[in-house]
Amino acid sequence: MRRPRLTDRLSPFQRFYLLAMAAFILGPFLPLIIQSLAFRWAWPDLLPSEWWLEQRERSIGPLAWDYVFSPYSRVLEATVNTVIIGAAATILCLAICLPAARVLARERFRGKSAVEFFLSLPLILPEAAIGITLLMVFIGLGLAGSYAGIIIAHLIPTIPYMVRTLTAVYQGLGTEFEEQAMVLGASRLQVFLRVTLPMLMPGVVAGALFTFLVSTNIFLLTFLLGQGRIITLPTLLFSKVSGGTIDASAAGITVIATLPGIVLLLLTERFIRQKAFDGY
Amino acid sequence: MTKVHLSGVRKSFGSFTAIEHLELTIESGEFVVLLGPSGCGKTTMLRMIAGLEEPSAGSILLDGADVSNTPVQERNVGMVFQRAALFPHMTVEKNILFGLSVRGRPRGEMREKLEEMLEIVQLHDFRHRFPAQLSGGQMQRVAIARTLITEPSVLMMDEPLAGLDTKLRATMRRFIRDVQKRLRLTTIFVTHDQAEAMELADRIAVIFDGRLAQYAPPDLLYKRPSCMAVADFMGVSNIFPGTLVAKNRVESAFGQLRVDEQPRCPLGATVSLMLRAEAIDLHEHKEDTRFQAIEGRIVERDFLGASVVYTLECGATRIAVSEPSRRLLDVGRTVWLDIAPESVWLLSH
Repeated sequence: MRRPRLTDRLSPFQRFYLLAMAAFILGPFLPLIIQSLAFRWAWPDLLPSEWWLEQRERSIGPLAWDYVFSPYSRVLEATVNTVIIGAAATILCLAICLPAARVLARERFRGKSAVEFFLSLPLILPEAAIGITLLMVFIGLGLAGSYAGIIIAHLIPTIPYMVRTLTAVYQGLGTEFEEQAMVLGASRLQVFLRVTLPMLMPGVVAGALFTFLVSTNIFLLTFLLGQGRIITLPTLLFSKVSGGTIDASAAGITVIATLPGIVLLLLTERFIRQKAFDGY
Repeated sequence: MTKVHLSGVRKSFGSFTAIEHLELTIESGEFVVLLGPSGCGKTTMLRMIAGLEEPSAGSILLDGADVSNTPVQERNVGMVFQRAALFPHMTVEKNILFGLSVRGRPRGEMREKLEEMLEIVQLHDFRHRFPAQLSGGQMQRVAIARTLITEPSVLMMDEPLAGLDTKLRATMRRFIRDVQKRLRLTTIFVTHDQAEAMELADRIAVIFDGRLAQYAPPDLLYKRPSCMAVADFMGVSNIFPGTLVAKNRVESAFGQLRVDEQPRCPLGATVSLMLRAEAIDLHEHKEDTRFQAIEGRIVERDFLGASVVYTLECGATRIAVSEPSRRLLDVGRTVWLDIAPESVWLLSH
């Protein structure tokens, strides 16, 4: 199928509108990138009066991007932590939500509406309330300041989204495909791996992507439960900007913090396009 | 070639009884159609034979072996669903090979059988297509090939032609019948379309409300329905009340009719008289009638192409008669109805 070219279809107003939206979303990133390359950028200068590269030779310690990539910044550690926690939370979240969504989509049982209500509770409660409650419990259990504690905490705000996404795709998937596979001799595991999972893939990818992005953005829960022992990109960033000024290295870390999400989005977008539209 | 036997099978969902004490035998190599209105339990019967539902009581025997507790994967039966249920993420080839691939069969064998199946269903050119790129008929052919490749002991089809247009249905019926005859497969086919049932079946099992109403070859079912419900479902157009006055005579609204001897009905019994529209001959002259001459006036004529259906007024009753459209009689004309004794079927009350 040939895709219509954008310019064939859009009126000048529509094109202007799209550009304005792009500028609105992407615009704030421009000063951020400039800031990350600046040495001195004071009001009301439009561009920095001194650039990082000009000062590089003269400085004693590492500046701006040199600092970001140096071990002092702990950016590498925070990035690795962010990705590990995000990936673990996503996998666990999927493992919990797939069976739950199957039941919610296909079965009718007493108390179903109550379960659905409780599943959306984390969206209503303030994150601070969840974090402090969990901290109390986790200190007792010895989970505070551990990876496990943070990963469990990250499941709380992500499960509601994942369950909803997967329930919707399960509802769209009739039971006849799985029954057909069983009649053809497939074991339960084979039915799941060869039929159910591939057919749910668009929903699984969407839910996983969302979970990962939410997890990599969580500050408060990580901050409370990490107890300073485990740093992620959001907590690192907050410690850099808590003084109220944003210098070049803080701006650089911010740019780094946007990367996991962008990389993942680019990867999965291609995947979703290929998988979801090949056979449907 | 497998004989299927349902013995005292009952199925209830909560307080609703879908199937009531069912006894049914399907001989090996036989093509049996389960016919009935929607919701009569025919799909439930199929699902129980396949192992997708468990009977609440009774047992299901394949070649004499009780499979009631055998999981669906191990029954080795074939099932074609109403909407084909092709796996949308697999090509035609992958769909057809699914059953062998989950059994871990060697590659060479899979290749060989795939070619054989593509030959049977004539889909060589479509092997690399995805289901979304196929027409309804092609999808059903893939579904049939996907089932046949596993060499099922019983082939079951649940209204597989329901979504197709009339012309394609006719082609697919012939195709299914040919394949079944060639492979001599025990086949159970579910439909609510009596014409489809009669064209396909060796025997038809008519199901009403979870009960077997009649189990007979198509011609017998058509000519000798066991009860009013079956007669009605099979589309009998003329049913009149009558009384059996002699062993081979029945008194009805248009006088006494000669009938075949009815050993099942006692003399004086009130009966329903069933006359097939095409079993009545129309004559322009009274002298041409051979069995009985009943006067009637044509009040309506429906031309259907190959045949023409007249509505005749005989005294106070109306009767439908259908005949080939070689000749056309005019509305308003008086004709003589001739009814052969053997084509009158009586249902006692």
